[in-house]
Amino acid sequence: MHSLIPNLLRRLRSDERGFILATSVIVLLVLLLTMTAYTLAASNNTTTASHTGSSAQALAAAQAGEQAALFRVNNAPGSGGASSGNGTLGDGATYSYTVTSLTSSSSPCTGLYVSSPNTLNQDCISSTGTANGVKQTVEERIAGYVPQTSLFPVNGIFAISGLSTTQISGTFSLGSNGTLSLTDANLSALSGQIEYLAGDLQQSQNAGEQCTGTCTPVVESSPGITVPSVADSVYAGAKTTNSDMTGITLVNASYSSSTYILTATNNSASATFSPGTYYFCGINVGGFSNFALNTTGSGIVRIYIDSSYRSGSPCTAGLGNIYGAGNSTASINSSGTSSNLQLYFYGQPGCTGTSCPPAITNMNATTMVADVFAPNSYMDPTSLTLDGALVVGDLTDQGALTATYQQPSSSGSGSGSSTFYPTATAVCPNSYATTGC
Amino acid sequence: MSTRARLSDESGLSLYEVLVAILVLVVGLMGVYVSIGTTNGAVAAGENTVVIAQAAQQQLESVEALPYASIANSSEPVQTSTTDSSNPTYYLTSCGSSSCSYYAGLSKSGTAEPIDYDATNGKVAPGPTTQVVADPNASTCASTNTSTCRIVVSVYTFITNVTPSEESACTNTSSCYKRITVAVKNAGQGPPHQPYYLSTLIGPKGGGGSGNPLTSGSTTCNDQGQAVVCTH
Repeated sequence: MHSLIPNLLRRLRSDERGFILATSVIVLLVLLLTMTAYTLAASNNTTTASHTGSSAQALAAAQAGEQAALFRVNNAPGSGGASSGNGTLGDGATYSYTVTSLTSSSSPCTGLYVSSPNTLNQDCISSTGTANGVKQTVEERIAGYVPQTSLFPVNGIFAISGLSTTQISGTFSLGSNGTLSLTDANLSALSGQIEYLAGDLQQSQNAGEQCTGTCTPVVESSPGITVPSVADSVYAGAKTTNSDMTGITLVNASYSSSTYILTATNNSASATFSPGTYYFCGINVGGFSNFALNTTGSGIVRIYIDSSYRSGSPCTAGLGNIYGAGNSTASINSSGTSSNLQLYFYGQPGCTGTSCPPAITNMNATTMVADVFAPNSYMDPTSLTLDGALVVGDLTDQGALTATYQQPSSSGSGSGSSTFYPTATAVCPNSYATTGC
Repeated sequence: MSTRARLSDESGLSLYEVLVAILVLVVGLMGVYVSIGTTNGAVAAGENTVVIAQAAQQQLESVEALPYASIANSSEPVQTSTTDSSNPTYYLTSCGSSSCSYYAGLSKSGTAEPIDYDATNGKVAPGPTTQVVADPNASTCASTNTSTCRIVVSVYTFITNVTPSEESACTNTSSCYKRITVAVKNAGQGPPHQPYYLSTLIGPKGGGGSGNPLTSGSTTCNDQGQAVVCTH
């Protein structure tokens, strides 16, 4: 054994037989190793190519899942498919998605949290596509307004417990859950609907003055039309943040920050409001004529007139309205558009008919280009010209009632389903499962 | 000289040795040659696969960028084979009668979806359209002279309507969303021989209108407590 290696070395030095063959084998071995390396590199190349193709399919599948999720959220809200789902595409790729609700700016999802003065719903879609074992995930933030139930259930004037007038004309609808006392009015001059409960329409005995032609009678089913409400918190919020003169220009008028009353001090007084929210306990036109409440700019002016009937209200009893001294005349937004002015009167919840506090009273003539919501108040104008929409508890018009209905701008209480729109989209990194998108 | 003596004589042995070595080398080198050819083919196929996948992705993105109403085939697809399943038009049916459908599941035992064909608004040609990819540094590759091109591919794009039977949230076909199927096939001789398919879904984009919170000037986004302008 000890002599084996020295013998071999001696033989290699002295005997060259088999040297060429051995060299050939060594050359082949080197070639084999080189080829193996080359084949491995080529195999990696093929795998990478295949991965590229599958990755594209997985990404397209993830995006397909996101599209399907958005469609289902908007078209089948509340169903199982709206919160999670899956599917298969023709190229063999599959997708699965989940939809989660985002409740605050700290809720994780791609993009930034969206904020709006109007109530928003905000969700996050996370969709993963898989093709040949390759996964891709996309995330999308979607947002949509909480739909608003219109505060104005009738395209014109709705007096909840009853309405009476002697003259009527214009293009609008008229409705009530109580008695519509219209015996002296020529209803054929009305272009619109008269909506009432069976037996509650009192119209002229003269066939030519009844609701025919452009006037369409509509009998509502009992118990009648439901009117939404504006929450107390909305008035409280307006009082907290908007009970000052910011945004208001007064002429021949003054404002008391202790009583929250705007008072005309001479004829042709005016108060001009910039877009925004305002709060009062009353607007006192006094005995003056030609009071003008104007709006300026293109945004919406929201005026909340509170009353003592709201818990926490600073208003003294008997206020909560726009009132004059008998011979006053007022023009409310007469040169503006109705969708730019919203007047809210708190009134007295639960009251009925003329027992309700007045919204606009002791006025000789009133012209309003506005959307007026006063479901817990009554109105008794000498004559009323309205361009917009009106909800009032009870309306007793002493003279002519002329109106033109205009579609109110969005307002009201939330209900129903949102229509969602994407606000941000991202393709997640491969570490998505552990780090998020 | 006896056989025993000749065998014990070492003269001329190196010649045998050389011949055997040459034989071994030739056999080995032939194996290497064959292996190189096979490997090169695999490399080329891999490169082509990547190019084809990229072409398909590019086509898909160009369709997705269109307005939703324009995502429709601008002409009715033409079926060029009823027997060759590697031809993407194999999965078409009833074309030429304005009721063309496509087996988007790539199985004729599945459901054929109606092709969304809109000659007025549709901006998506069903194809096949020819696309060429040049070799790096090649300047002469063009659709009219493809001999110097790395690969020439045929691109098919089919727009189909997802139906209420497939999507319970649909009320009718026009209220549903659409499926985009892109098929890219190597029009040359080399691999890959099967078409590459890329498929996705796309719904109405909405975007504008007063219902989109982002279109309102009063909408803001919260960036670490700061209100900033929302951007897509």
